[in-house]
Amino acid sequence: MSPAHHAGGRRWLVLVVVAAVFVGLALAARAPGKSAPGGPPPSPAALVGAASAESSAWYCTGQTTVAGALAPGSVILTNTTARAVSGTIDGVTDSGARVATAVSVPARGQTVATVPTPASGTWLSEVVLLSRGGVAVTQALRGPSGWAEAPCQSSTSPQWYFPSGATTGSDAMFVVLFNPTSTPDVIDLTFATAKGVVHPINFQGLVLQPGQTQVESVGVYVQEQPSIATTVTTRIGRVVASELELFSADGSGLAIVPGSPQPQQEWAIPLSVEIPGGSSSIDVFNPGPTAQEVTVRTRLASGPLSPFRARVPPQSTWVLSTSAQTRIPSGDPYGAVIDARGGAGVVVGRIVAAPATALAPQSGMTDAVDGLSFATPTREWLVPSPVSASLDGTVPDSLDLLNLSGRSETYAVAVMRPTGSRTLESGQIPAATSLSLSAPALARAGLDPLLVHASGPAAVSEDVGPTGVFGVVTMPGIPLSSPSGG
Amino acid sequence: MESQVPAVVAVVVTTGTGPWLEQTLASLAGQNYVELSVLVLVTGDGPDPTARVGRILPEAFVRRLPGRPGYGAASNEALGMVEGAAFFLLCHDDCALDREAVHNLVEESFRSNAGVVSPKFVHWDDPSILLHVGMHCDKTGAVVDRIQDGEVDHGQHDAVRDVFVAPGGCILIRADLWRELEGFDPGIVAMGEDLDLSWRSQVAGSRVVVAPEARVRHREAVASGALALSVDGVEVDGVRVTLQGLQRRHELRVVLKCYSWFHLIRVLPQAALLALGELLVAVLARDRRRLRTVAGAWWWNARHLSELHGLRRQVAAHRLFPDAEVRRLQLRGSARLSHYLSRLSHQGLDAANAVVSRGGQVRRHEKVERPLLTGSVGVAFSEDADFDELDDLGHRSGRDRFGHQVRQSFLSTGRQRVVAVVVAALVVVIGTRELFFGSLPLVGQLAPLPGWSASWHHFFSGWQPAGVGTTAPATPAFGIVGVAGTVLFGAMGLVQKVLLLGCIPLGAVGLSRFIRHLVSPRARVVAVICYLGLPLPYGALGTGRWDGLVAYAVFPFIVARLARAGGIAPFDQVAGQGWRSEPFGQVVILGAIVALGTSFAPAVLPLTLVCTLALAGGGLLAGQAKNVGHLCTVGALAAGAAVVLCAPWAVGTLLAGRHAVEIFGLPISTSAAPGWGEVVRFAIGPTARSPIAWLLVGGSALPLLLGRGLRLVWAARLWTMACASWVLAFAATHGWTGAFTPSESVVLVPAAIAVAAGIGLGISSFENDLAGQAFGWRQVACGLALAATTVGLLPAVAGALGGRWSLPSSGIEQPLAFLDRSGGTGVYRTLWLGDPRSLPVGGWSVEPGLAYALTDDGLPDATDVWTPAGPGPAGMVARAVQLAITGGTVHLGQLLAAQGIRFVVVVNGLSPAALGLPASVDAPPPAGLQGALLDQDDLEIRPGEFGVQVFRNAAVMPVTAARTRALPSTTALSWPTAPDVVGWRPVLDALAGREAATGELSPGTVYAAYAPAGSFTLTQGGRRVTRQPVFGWAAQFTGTTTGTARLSLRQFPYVPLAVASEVALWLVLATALVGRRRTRARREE
Repeated sequence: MSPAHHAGGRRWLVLVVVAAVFVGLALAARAPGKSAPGGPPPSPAALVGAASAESSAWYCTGQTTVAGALAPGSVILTNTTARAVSGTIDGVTDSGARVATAVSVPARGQTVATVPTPASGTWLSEVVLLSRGGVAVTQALRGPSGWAEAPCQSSTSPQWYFPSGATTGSDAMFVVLFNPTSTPDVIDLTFATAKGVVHPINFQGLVLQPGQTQVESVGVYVQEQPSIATTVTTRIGRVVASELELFSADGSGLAIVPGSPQPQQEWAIPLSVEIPGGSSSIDVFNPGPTAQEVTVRTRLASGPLSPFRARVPPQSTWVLSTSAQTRIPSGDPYGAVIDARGGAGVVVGRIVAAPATALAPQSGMTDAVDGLSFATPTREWLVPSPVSASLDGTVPDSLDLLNLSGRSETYAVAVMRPTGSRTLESGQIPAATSLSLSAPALARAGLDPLLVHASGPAAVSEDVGPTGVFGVVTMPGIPLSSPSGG
Repeated sequence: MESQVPAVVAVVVTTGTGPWLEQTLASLAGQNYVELSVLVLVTGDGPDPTARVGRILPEAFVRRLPGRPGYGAASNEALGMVEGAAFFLLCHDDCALDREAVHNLVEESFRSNAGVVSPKFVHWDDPSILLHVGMHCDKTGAVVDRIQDGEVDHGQHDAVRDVFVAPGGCILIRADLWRELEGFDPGIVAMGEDLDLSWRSQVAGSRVVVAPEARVRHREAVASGALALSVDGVEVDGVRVTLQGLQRRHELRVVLKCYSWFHLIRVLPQAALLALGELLVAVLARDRRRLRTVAGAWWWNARHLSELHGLRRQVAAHRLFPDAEVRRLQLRGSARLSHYLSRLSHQGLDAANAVVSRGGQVRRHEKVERPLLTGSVGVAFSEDADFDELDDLGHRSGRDRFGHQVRQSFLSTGRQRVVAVVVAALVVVIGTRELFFGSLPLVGQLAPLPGWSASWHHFFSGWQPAGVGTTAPATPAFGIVGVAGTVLFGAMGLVQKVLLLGCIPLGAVGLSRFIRHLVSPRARVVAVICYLGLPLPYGALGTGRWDGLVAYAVFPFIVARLARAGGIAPFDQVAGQGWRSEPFGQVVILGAIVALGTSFAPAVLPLTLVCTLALAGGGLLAGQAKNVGHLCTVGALAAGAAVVLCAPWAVGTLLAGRHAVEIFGLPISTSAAPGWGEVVRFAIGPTARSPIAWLLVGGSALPLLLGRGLRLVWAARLWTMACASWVLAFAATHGWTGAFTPSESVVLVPAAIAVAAGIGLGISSFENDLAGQAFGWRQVACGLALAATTVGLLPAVAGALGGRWSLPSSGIEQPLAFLDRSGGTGVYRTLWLGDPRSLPVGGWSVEPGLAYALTDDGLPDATDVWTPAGPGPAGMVARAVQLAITGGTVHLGQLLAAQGIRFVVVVNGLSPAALGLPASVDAPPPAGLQGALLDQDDLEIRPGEFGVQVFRNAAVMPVTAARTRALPSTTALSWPTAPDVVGWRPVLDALAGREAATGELSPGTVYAAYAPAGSFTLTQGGRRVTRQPVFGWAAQFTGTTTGTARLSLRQFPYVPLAVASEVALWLVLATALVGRRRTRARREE
């Protein structure tokens, strides 16, 4: 009998092996692939490029050109690397006038760039081209309504989302568009209000040639709306957009919001305080085509509060008036985490107003810290100093961290000086709790930029004063794409 | 008593040399027919047979004819010698009639009112064996016997029937008819005179019948070669003129003279077409004899055209039956083609081409075949199990001889199998019909082939323009393309289609050859149809994958050769010839096949090793450990032989270091990887993606359930191979195999072979392993498997309706047409970015799912498809792109300037015309790539291009450029700075495909973006200009003066010499393979 005749006994062994392969394939198909999808990973609107980068660019929009106008401002460059970085700032106004200046940022230092006054035009947008990475660019604005600061944007995008905005009373809202690319843009603006979605005909099909900037006053077409969420979408090309809000109805204030390039499922507000007589709200904008379940989890130092939940329809905004919530006690600091399920994500912003009797500026608007920023792989964030020639007297009021990892994490806050970094404070942050470094603690850093390092995901922001109330002017921690000091 | 029977004169033509004359005469003498006279006509100058005749038949008349006229011409003499006879009995001198034969013939003539009556011919030595019981012919005059070769006479043909041809050994013909026909055609000296006479008799309105009661033994002395043909003017030497040659020329002569004009115009082109096909087959089979025979028949008739006019007029003069009636009696179709296809189906290509296996020892399983180039193609249907069911015209009556309805077993007859294969082939042809004409779109790897001379140049060249230039040798595929282009007189479009589309039938032939030793002919046909019905080749074709199609074609041969060389039963019983059957020869031949496949699809090489291990592992799994080690050794040696046969290219690939593995395929993004269901059911292309194809996979599991003995062992082997193939394809597309990421269209081919062969084994198990089993789940499983297999073929059939297997009608050649006419001055390059599957060029990987390639100005051709393994200095481009993607630069244009990149083309998918495809087929580029490029301040997008995004580099430097200020000399790889890229003007013309680039210069510095820089020299007026390295890989030449300059490659010709050695090696191998066979054939002749 040949060995082949014995093979019948192996039949089941063969069948089992084949079945095992099929089951293995089916199971393997459920497992994520080893190689990540190609292409650039999604990044937040502001990201400090790798120190090893060959070059980097930042785009600043929303400034006006002349002193005394709505929002004249300056550009602040913060170098996180150990080598000086040079570059150029090319400005262009809404009339097409161009200015340029060279700039150099010392190692681990900050520079306030002086941009020549353009020959014509009201609004100025700038491209900051740098010879290396590792530099963050922010802008500080100061106008009759108040002052504000925010990061510039480190990338262009085919769409931008702004969750907050108002055109009630004498409040003015502007959408600033800038095309720094070599491709013409065709842009549509859409506004979601309490009354529904608005597509003003004059804001459809806006054509921006390469290098052109344009500012649209929203109040002309979307009138008397207390909550406006804006979507900037390009039909072709990529654009930089920001939102400028001038508060004058219930207290003065100025806000420059860089916007978010994509909705996300997690957002955070590291620290907030409700004060008597003031008002604040969290605006959750769902730009997607499907309704989403949104939960706002707040936590006091003493423990978590009962979460706020809502089903946010597509193209609409849920305005959670935190100051009106009895479960949030006045005067107690709290952190908030917002998450959305059932869709592509939401965009979250915040509007804060102090009592009219408070110090100016009394009103402010900013975006919450997005998930991409607090989940940065380097776990390191830069908080630029508010110092600026045009903003004398501004000081950091508090530096806030919110641990988002679900477990206790370590943190370290260091001040960055040309001679090196020096740790201001370090320690542990329990899970889901906020930590705040107050003004006295920050005073040791003076007006030098801060570097925050954590062992897990964390939301970082700095409240800058003096203002009427906590949260009117905040500077989010800008994530670093490579460790500082390189 | 006065006789009442008609007079019959028997005419016996003899040369007097045959020893059978006495027996012939004795049989005539012994007839019980009283009115029989015998006339012996003696031809030739042999001994006078009068005495011999007198001894046997004293009353016979003997007449000696002058010269050596043919049998027909000699018989015709009787017309002038005999008066008053009612019948002539025309006899050869090697026939022996039974005693009542003449009586029966005459009787049947009256009964049937037949003009011509033929007896039943039986073997001379063994009268129980039939020779002829009448014959038929088809429209082209090909004579077909009614019986099988060697058929025993059981009386199964003992009915009187109309036949078309009365075989010539012994014919009874009415005397008046013979006179009217003026006898035989004297121009037909031998072979075919019976066809001519029978045909003309029917044209004249006479029936031709066979009367089997009249039995004649026939020696067939001339046809069998026992007696030489002795005719004036004809020298049958077996080489220049053969009996077969005479038969073919006379068949054609009969066709030319017997048809009316109308039918001749219809039939002649068909006959010509068939002859052309036969010639082609003869050329491919290197069958000189057949070539001479077929061509000689047409040539001979062309030379005798003048005779035909009179002969046609003679036929027309006595025509009573129209051709339509005559045609009704002939076989339909082409008997010769049916015969060929039948043998092809049953016995393979060699047997069909009548290539005889005579050398070496004939083993137990080896069937000795004899060449079948005779006039009779009677064995055409010899393998029909239900031959008896054929009626006289070869048509099936559907009833047996007892009148019972016959239930035919599916594919049980050769004809059914031929029809099935032809239908499958037709589906493939219909599915491919739109690709036969016009040019192929620029999709996947379907870039047009370079000209034949350019292919040769590229193959032998010591420098390739791939990337920024490399001295790595080119793949041997260019040599093969060059050979094909030369053979086809430079029709490179045809070459591309022949090579590309020919892979599908070649694969089917390969599978047929592989499985023929494992299963029955029926199962073999089903397996081949299933191999053709799997979506894999059409997926590869629809996505423009050369590698997948080539692998589909060669792997069945590789697996078969592996099994044979590895000594796996039953392949260990396959006989071979000469050195090729020795272990060394088997390894060399397998290595050569692997080398051929690897040239076009490099992943064939490692996959051969995978198949080897899978076959060994499957055997072990089934308890068959015999020869496992030998099999593995053979696989490894064959891979080594393949490497040796591609040595220059292989060495160049190995020198690419870590990039060497990229030659097998580039990694794709997991987000666009096919799912496991798509992998297992071979749905990797745009067509035949239906989940119904799962049924084929399911159907192939039957032998695992039912098989016994070797069938189960082979099922285990095949399923192990399939599982290995599926797992590897899935792992490679999902990034689990590291840098080794062969294309799934190649990796899945062994699985396709396993599925198709598994189905064949299943049918074989059904035929063999169910015997004696009570009805139960096994029979149900068989039914289900057969149904699943049938239904599982539907996706491929449906896919054929489109006519192009969903290959897009246009590729990127339309949106990028401007590249060909960008014109202007200067030489630049184009950077291609996209998924490796959608790039129309070969290239290298930036990251999973993103590949890049550099090409010269204009649209790419195949020289850009088969690129070397490593990018060389062009790797700087990948680093720059990576930097842009990660936000590390906003000056990508500047970083790409040194390579002379003017356009960056991002390919959005497989084709602009391919819409709605799944991501695993469309293969889009990584999300965000466009944004990263748009963020670059020196890249300007060209708006309006559909299917691609084209960016123009605002910071470009020409490939060869000049300016007054020199660049800083650097030996380390580096990127240009902003000042480096300004102020250049283009100089010199293109270098690719030429010996040198020339142009006019002015004083200053010349930059040349060609690598390796050290191998290039710039000369001006015979003076070498000083060369400095820049950017670590390019060259600048400082101190140029006004005048003409020439940039050329100056290095020792290592590569051309190595490639020449490689070609010599192939020539030696080809000579050993072909030359040996020819020598043997000549010796046999």
